[in-house]
Amino acid sequence: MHDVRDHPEFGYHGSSQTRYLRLIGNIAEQLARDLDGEKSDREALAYHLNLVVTEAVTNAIQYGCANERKDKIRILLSIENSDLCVRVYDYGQGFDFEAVPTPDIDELSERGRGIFFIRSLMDHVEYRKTESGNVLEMKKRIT
Amino acid sequence: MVDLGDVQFIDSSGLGALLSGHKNAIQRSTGFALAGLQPRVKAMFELTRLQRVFEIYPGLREALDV
Repeated sequence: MHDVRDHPEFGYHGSSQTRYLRLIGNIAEQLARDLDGEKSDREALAYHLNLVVTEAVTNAIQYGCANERKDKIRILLSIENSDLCVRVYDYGQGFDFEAVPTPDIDELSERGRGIFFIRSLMDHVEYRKTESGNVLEMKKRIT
Repeated sequence: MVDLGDVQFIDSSGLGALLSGHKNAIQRSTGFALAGLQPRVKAMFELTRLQRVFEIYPGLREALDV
């Protein structure tokens, strides 16, 4: 059970070309499932967490390819006060997060729904470029 | 017909692959339908409004009876 006095962190730092990335999504899912609260809500949250981690990692692999660290990715899951936080770091050129459009239902494009999922399912989403890379920060209230 | 009865998880790439199949079927003037969506998978179609695009059946049996 989750104790708000704890601030556990779970992370991955390594190659983006690895089967372990799937594991991070599953850890996010299990973390959500293990929180206090209504079970059915937690099951939905568990799915959503796995989905946003998967989408963020896919995105980082797609846009994070610019230099010698291009195949590296860092993912951090944490519980901070009343938020479940996911941070996905990449070391590429990044992209203009705010410019990503909402998918047009009439267009039926095969692409472009990842950021939409992240924006729709998380309470706070921020994309920052820093000196050491880019970070997509996503938070979900859990209390 | 794509039976999604055993699919517990779908992301934007999965939806994109199904959309590709749907568009391909339209081009060839043939049918393309989905069956057996699990509730959480179905919720992702609803969130993206793609449930309006696809022909969706509760299960494979219902789909084949049509």
